[in-house]
Amino acid sequence: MLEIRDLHISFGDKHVIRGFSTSIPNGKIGVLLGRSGSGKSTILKMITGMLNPDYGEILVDGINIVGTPISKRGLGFVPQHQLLFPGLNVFENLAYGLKSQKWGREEIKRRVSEIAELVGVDHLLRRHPRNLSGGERQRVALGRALATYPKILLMDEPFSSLDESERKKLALVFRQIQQELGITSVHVTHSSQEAALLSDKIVVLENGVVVQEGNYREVRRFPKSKTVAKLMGIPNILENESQEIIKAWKLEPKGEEEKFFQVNPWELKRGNMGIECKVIAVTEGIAFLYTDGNFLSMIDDSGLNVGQKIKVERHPEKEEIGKVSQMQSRVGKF
Amino acid sequence: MHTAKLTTMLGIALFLLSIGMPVPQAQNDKLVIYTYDSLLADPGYDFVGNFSQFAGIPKENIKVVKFEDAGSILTRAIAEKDSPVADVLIGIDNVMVHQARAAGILEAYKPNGAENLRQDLIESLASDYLLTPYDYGVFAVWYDESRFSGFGNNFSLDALRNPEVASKLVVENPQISSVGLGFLLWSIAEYGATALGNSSDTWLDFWSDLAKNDARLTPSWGDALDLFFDAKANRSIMISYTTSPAYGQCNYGEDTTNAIVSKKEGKYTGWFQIEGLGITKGSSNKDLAKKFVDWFISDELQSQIYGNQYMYPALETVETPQCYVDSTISKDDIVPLNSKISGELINQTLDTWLAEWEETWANATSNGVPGFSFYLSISSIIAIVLIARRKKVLKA
Amino acid sequence: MIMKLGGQFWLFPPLVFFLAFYYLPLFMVFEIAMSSMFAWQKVLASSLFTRFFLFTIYQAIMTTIFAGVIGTVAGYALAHGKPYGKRILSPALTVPFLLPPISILVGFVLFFEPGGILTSLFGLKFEVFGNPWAIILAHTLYNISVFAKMTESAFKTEPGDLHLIGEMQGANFWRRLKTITLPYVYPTILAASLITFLYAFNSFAIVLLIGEVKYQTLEVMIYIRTRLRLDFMSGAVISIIQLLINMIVVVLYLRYSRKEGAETEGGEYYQPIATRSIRLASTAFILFILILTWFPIISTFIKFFQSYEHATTIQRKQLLSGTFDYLLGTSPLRVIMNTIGFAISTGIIGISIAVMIVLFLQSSHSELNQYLISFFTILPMATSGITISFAILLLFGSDRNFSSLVWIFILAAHLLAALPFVIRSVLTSYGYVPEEMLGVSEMLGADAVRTFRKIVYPFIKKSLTVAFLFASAISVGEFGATYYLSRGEWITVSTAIGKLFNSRYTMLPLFFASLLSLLALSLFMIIEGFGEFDLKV
Repeated sequence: MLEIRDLHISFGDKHVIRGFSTSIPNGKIGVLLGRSGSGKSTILKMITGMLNPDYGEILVDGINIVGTPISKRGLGFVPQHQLLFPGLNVFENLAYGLKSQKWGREEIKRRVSEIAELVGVDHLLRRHPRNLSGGERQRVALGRALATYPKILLMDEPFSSLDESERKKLALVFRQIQQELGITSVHVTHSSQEAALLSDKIVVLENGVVVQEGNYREVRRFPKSKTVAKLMGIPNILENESQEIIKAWKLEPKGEEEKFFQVNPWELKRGNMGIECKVIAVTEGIAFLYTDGNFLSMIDDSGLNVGQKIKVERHPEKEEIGKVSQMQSRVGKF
Repeated sequence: MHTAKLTTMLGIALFLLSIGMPVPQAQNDKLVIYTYDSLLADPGYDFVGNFSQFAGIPKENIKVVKFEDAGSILTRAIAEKDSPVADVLIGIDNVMVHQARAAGILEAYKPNGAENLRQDLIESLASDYLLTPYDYGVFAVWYDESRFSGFGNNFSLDALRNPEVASKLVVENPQISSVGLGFLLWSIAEYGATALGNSSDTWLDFWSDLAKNDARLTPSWGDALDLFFDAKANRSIMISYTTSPAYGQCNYGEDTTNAIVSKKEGKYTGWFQIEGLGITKGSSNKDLAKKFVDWFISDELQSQIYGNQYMYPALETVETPQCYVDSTISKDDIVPLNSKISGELINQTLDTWLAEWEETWANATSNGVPGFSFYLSISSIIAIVLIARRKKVLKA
Repeated sequence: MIMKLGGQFWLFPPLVFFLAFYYLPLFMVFEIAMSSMFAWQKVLASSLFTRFFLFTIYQAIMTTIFAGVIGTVAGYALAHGKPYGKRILSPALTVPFLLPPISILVGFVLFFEPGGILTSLFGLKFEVFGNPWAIILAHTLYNISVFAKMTESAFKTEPGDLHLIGEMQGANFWRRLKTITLPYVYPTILAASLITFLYAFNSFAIVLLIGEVKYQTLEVMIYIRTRLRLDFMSGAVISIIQLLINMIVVVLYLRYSRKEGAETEGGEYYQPIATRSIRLASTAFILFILILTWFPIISTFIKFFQSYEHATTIQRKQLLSGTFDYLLGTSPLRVIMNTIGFAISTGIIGISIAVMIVLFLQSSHSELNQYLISFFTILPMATSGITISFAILLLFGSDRNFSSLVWIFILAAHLLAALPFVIRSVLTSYGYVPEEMLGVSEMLGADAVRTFRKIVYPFIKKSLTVAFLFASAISVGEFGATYYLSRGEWITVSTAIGKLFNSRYTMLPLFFASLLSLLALSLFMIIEGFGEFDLKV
């Protein structure tokens, strides 16, 4: 169990973290989600011990680790850029911490083969990092972090430099191993997709404070603010909240704390009435539109042409589950 | 070699590089003279101005290129043999004349007034007038009496081998300097060499001792002189001429230096240097060049040698100043060593001697050149690193 | 089609330049060396060659080791030791590298000469002339900054996360040094070692002036053989041996300098916490090195002002007037004008050639062309100044106008020294021009010059300026080739110092050396102003 209470830190006059608290139950993954500059890396640094908070407590199984030397905090860390020790092979990378902690030769051998099997790199032990694929390297990085029996596993955007297919596959591997070991984990990312793949709990950060907490589904369905909605990759948020559009499409305000307007792509249809939009791109059944300062996407297979001006109406319908998930990655970022 | 093709290439290159830049033309109406920088320099005689007056040509038409030492004049002239730049070379001496002759860079010319010169000089330098002698002198070990106590009554080069003495000594580089070369031949004449029929090259042992005992080596006589006068450098002995003490005597009426040559049982022996000037083969200004050589052995110039060059003029009729008599060993008392080494031998062997000298000078101390073990350890370190890396690659 | 031809035309001038002043002359050297086996036998069998060959390598290795150890520690202290006043210390450490070796040497002798600072302050005696350790020391001083600056930037970019992991897993400082830092900076150290080795291996001025024939590098050997003894055959043989070794070093350098930093990238850089005592220690160490490397500059200045102060009015007036003609062949003022003229011409022609090469590459987007050009223009880097000038002398020296046109050849030699740097830096920034933009421009029918002006120029503007300054700095500092080729009035400040080095005239060489230092300093500040100063080639 990781519990963080009222963490504060300032750099000069800048109060970067202003009372951050959260807790991650035993065996669960907590995601720190936020844009760059939101303070998530600073919190990670305070957990690792690279930074000391001005105020507040970080409790691992009830014991405050603030002030404890980095090596005594019982942490494992998977970094962002598949960083392995460059001069060492896979075996030596996995054995790194064990050797530092002066384990015996045989014990090291046993532990390394155990871990290698767990993360699926047992056939690569003699390889050098530069001869590994990105995914293989990140498996080794996970194994290295787990080898020393850490109490908490920290992951800093572990999949960001991998390609799409590898990312999903590896996320599942990580998830499976994490659940198998039941290790409490912190996962720092700015990507809602990674958060979706690897989380029990999401903590959304903005300007050093928590703006929303909850599991992925809750946060995704009921974002409290426009910022959270954007972070979660929700499509068609109105940038320029034009009353004309809101009225014509009968949009309901969303968000508990900060109201915003949003329309789902599957609800928009080409019609004879409604708002005039300009088609700026069409790909695989999705039309990208522009109107009154807003870029919107719409599901449409009717063969629109780029540059065409059309009228768009809204027909509130039930979610078309298949289409939505298929689109999400592409539409979400738009 | 394919000079023609290459010249075409150069033509293109030059054209491209010099668009808009005027290419200066080589001017043929100028008399170009190569000489060394200390010629008639102290206190100074303006031979260019005086010759221009004598010949009735503007001073601008005489171009003097000055080199650090005679050796550079010779190498430059040889390098330019195919298309000579200089018309007159001044300062080739009785040793270098053989290289000059072998290289074929000079054209013989018997000047007007040659009959007034000391005939033995002409005989020793070039009886065919490839060069015309203008001055001569005897090499000597020159020291400052205020800083060095002297050598006693007798003197041989052996005295210089003493570490105390050698560490105060400056010698000139025989590869570059004519003084250095003269001293080299003096040492060969005094110690003997296999080429002279001796059983071993004892002259090399002499040089090895100089190097071991910290004698300094300068590129030119001028540089040696500067070191000699620099009190902080503490180099109070140098290789110069018997006439060197005359400088102080003639200019200040007293002299605290002394110059000596080998002396045994009251008999002096020394190596004579005869300096000459000559006209280059292929000179484009031959008439003026001849006029210049004629003038150089005339009374007008020759009377300046004692006062500005501190050598003996080649023209016999110039009277020796009293200050020379007071401060120097009389040249007539010195038996020349030059006859020990024939011109032919110099011509054949000088290159070998210079190479042997360089080798001896450089190898005198093993300082700074590590033995086999250094390279063995360096290469084994590299090998170990390479093998270790290779092993890692193989493992992987 | 017309445009294509237009583009390819631009290759012609650089091609002619390299052919006429580099490849053809070098071919002459090969021809002479290969004309007889006897020359090879003579050279290889002589004990002198063995001695000097081994000495050349020995002093280069020792220089590399000394400069490497001191410079790398300094680089670490700069990167991680958080020394006080780092903003001044770090650039101050770079300056000595830009100084011409000859001005370093002047200050070096001033420091060690009898009655110099060393004897008067510490009562120690150290003979500079004919002492191999003096040569190694001078080379080391010069190269410490190379190591310090190159390793500083490598140490600075060590991946922070890796150190964090190491620390989390209980690895102490030494274990992390061994497993993280060293593997990470290893290519940089190797590249810096190769650069230093190359520099010391080809050293000329320092060894010629203080080696006193007893100690010669191959470079000095070639000079003595070809210029003083006119033994072209031995000179050519030694040139080729030297060239081969240089080629190996350059090839290795290019390999490792490319590898540098490729293995790990991204993430935050390692920034260890520096305690007060660490900060003090690193400040002290860097100050010590600064004193070591700056003393030549400072003692030159002091000595010059001292001698100027003690000089009579006439002597002061004579400083730049014609009284040194007989030593320099021309007036000191002309010497300065020559230097500036060569520097500016080298800069302008250097970047012009680089631009022509870019214009050519623009019109033929082929990887092969780019590779070939990089290769053929970098080769002069492996050729020493003396070899280049010897080669030029062989090809052109017998021409009647050689002496009057010698400025062209000196300029060519300066260009050959500068071009590998200029072309490499310009081509690197040319690599950042998006290929599509070139394609679009071509489709729109823009000719090569227009494409260059509109698209390429903005990308390479900065590197052109820096290349210009760097080329000028190289020209100002060039010694060997100018010394070898210079004739009559065509002499530069560096070579004038060399000529006056052994003479009793100290004020003028001191003035010249101070001038060079000032010039290097101001060039450095301008380049630093562009924020792009990089010792890497």
